[in-house]
Amino acid sequence: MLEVAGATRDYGIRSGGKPATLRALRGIDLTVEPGEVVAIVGESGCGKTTLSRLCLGIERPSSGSVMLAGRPIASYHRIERARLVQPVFQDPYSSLNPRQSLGGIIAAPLTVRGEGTRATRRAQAEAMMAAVGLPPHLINAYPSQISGGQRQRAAIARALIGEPKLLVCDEPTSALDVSVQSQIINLLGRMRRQFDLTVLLISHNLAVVHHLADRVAVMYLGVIVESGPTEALYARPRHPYTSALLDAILPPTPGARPRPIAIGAEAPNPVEPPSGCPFRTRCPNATAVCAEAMPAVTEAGAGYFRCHHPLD
Amino acid sequence: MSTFVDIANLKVSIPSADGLLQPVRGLDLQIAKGETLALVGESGCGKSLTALALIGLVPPPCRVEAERLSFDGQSLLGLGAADWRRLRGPRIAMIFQDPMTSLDPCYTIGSQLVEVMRTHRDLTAAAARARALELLTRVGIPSPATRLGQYPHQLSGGLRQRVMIAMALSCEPDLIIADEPTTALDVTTQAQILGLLAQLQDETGVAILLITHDLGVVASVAHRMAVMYAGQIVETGPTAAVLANPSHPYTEGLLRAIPTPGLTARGTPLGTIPGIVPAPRTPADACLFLDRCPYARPACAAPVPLLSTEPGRALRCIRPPDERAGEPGYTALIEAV
Repeated sequence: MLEVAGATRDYGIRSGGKPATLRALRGIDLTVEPGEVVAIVGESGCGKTTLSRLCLGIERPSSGSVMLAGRPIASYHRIERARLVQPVFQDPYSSLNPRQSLGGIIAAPLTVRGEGTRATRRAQAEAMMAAVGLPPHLINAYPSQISGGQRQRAAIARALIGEPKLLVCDEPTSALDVSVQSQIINLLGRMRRQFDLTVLLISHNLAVVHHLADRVAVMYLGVIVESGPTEALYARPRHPYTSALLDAILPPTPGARPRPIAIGAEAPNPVEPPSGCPFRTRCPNATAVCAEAMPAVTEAGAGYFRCHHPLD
Repeated sequence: MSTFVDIANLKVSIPSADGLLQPVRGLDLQIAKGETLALVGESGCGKSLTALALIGLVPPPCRVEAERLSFDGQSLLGLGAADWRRLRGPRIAMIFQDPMTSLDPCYTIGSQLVEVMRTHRDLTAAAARARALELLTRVGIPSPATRLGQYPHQLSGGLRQRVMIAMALSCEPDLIIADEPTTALDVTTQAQILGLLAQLQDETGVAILLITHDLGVVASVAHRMAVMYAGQIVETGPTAAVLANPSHPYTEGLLRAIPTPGLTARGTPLGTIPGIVPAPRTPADACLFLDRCPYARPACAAPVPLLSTEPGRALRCIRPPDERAGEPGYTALIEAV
């Protein structure tokens, strides 16, 4: 469905008054099979949103390639591309047009393509609203009149109305309250089955990722440092960064104590990434070799990791 | 443990064109010396306004009324600006969610720390600076001397929050109010900041009122927790007891809604709470959770008091767990999502 090969993305910025290059992605390889839910996890600034924008075709890689359904994503006309891939963004307050009614927002993908008549589009929007659990009377409501959870449902309805194959969800539940978050997680799970969707899920919440994803890729400073099937990765992380992320999950269970995080506090500036392994400045196990060379990909089971000193 | 902060029937009201809104409506809360109390609730439940009432920062035109609002035996109702200045900083300190907006971008870290201490303490500039250095070291900031001369934008989010904690500690307060102190931070940084707060409490005996929506944060640092819904406390008790046996249907619903690796089965539907939070103008002449509660009965359509159920625990519900045992409750709702 989606194949990212050797993708890099550089941004020209000014740092301290001097032109500099921010290397947001440094050689990403990622394959998403049809019907899979693949999650990209990592902390802020690791490049996960940049990667999602490449997969949506909103941005081009500086080098490398992004293939969607077997063709370079840049070769699609934007309307063709929108038939295949649709986004759901983090903030349902800013991703819906405040001056359009829900019916208009949800039917927009069909309107843009000039599909059907006004009446058939409205009927499809009504059907989609029912599918995502929005009450029918909201069809004429404006985003400001509905709750955050309802807005995220509307954003999902808009994404799915054109029956895309791939949904790119960038932190779809981060802006929502706990009880609403679970509704949206359930909805994504149900929509995935109902519409036979492939999902690329971008999140920093490892508990949500565990619940939804079949496969997880852990990103750090523009590099995928570990990837594998969800159960295996959570049961036996091989990269120290993955292990620290898992230790940082705070379960709402009695007697849970924060586990000491074995890594240093500071992520380095992506304008001046460290030599060798990107994680070495925070890694408790780093040695001289880590400063010399980027660790090669080591295959392990159905996944892989990049580390000179993997965990057992 | 003695009651250090005592709040009884706190109300915060906002006059508006649609009538009087009451985001906090009759809140009771006690905090003992040296303990961490977590005030938990979803957005709009009034938890931040409660915190602001305790530090005298509720913005006009909101009105604060209470039967009792006292700190260390002193009533906080009707205090003047000068009285508040003597309390804020030396006695009660506050840590906000977003350290970028609570530090002044135009001044160095050092000058902001020094200003707080010289305002409240009779310290020379040199002594205040020495203490600032000591504080930064204590909150785990590497190369503190360099950091003192830097501006907030030169620090990462985690470091800025450490600076905020250092500033809160600078006058050795008895109570720190931390409003979502880790929500804006990355997950590994969050764990480190929570560890730091717990460690500093062990060392100084400061009481902490932790405002959060994250039950994982509550589980890991709070001694006691109070669950807030629509401007009222619906359940309080020792954290471990409440998490193990939630009494209020709202608490139960929240806990069912959180995916936890190892506990929730992957891919199965999570619990949800149907409906939405009532508007702050709904009169409290019935249980405020009534419309969303899977255990509701006709008798719930009357005001419900917060009553003690066992030592240290209180509940605002007429149908405690033993009364509703055997009913399907939330499990009946799961496929209806």
